[in-house]
Amino acid sequence: MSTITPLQAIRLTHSVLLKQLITKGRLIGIAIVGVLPILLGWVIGAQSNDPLEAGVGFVSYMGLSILVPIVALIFASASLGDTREDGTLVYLWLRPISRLSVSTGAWAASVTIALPLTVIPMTVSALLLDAGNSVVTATMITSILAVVAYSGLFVTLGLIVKNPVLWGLAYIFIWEAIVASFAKPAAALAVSGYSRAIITGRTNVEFDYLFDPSQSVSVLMLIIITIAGIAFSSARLNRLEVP
Amino acid sequence: MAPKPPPPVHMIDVSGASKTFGNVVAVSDVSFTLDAGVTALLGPNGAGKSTLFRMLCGLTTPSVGTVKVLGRDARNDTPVRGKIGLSPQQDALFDRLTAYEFVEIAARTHGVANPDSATTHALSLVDLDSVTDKAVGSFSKGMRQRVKLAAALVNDPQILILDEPLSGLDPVQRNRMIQLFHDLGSQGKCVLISSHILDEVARIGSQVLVIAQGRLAASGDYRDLRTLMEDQPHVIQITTNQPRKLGAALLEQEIIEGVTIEQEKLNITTSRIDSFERSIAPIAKSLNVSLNEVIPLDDDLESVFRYLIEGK
Repeated sequence: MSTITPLQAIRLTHSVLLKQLITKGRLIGIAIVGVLPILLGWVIGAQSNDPLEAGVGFVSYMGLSILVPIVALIFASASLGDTREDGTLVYLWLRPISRLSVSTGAWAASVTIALPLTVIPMTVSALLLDAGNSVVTATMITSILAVVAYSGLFVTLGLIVKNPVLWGLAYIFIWEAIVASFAKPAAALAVSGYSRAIITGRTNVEFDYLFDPSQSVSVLMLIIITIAGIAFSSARLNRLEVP
Repeated sequence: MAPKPPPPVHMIDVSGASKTFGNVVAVSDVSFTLDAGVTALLGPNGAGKSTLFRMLCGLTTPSVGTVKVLGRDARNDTPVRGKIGLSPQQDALFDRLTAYEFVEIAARTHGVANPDSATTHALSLVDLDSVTDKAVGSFSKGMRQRVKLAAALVNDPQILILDEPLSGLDPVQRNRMIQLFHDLGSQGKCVLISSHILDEVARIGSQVLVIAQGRLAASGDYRDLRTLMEDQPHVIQITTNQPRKLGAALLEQEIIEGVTIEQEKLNITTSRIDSFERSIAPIAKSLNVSLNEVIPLDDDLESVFRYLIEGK
């Protein structure tokens, strides 16, 4: 008997949790939600006088502030949160693998599902906006980075609170949408602030945001949020009383 | 002077372990050591068996005391976790995986050298080799128990901790699994099995730990505990068409010490349980009395605990 490498452990955790996360109900629900930005993108693209500004605004508010965080929340918070709730966490926790591998595998499983469910509809809507290739490319890059960061954040949330979806929605719609638009320190703790900064920076569209970090700072911050989220969930797994 | 040899490392060593959840004491000052062989942990529901098991596996930390498995703390020692096989009490499984996938994941995460053959072997040990491709979510309770057992066995662990592993199994499967536990025990593994059913424990292992209200009420050879119990008068209820006649005959032959009658029910106390069991049918036959039902009223676990804890 030998212990496996961290990469093998991540792959195994990823494969188990991916199968658990993909349920018909979740996929149908989110696919339906994903149609909405496509339709809106088509309508806005056909009616707007300034498709670039309208397009970037639409991607920022509809995609990066609503669709991406909600989809990431649903899958990432369930990845370990559901296992803790239903008692299956023991089958990962008690194995001779590091807790960091478990949390990284959970994050990877969430990202694997959330990426196509967000990036595809957002990219299609960006194409329908008819605002140019820069918007399409920026939408793809920003959606990917945002999914990655939100997933890191919400994997942890699933391990620290009882109703992670409710808490996550409160974070998205109260903290990010309201508090962060009035208080700069709060905006610095909002993922959407950084993702919006990337898309506006890449397309050279200017909005009057309270918090407007540079593109490089924003990318760095999203990476830091991702790593911190995974590390924190790993630490949480170490301290957890496993049912 | 030769240096003092280090104390022996037991496979399981629990020393003064207590666990509290708020004001609730789940396990209180429990100490024992275990080595190779099969040991049954007997206790009623809510006695603290699962909490004790969770402490052994490191799933929860003791509030006081120490819990060591192979001399290590399973919570913080990754290699020692690879030497433990746990079948938890909860019914939850990764329902979307097939039986094969469920056990194979356990094999692979344990770094088993040949995970495919280990998985096949573990599933055959629990008689699930014909349903390997079925999702465990579609399994009956007994099959779920067995797939948990297969996952616990797949890494050939030195320590097996099985929480109520026989619940939901049919009698044939119970016998098969009990035989399997004995085989594992005789191979040098430390097998600790919990149960709240007295008769089940009698068949699981000669070594017994009895836990009640979070405390270790007794430990040792099951036969000794049973003998201790048999010194106590047994209370038995007999349903018959002529309770007075039967009661009088049993008293006359000094097989019973006390009797109360309630309609057709005769409640007797006896210290001579073997004589009683041998004679009740012949006596009833000789008196031409029908015996409808003979039920022991104190052969339940609560009675055992009442005696062990309170001495009555």
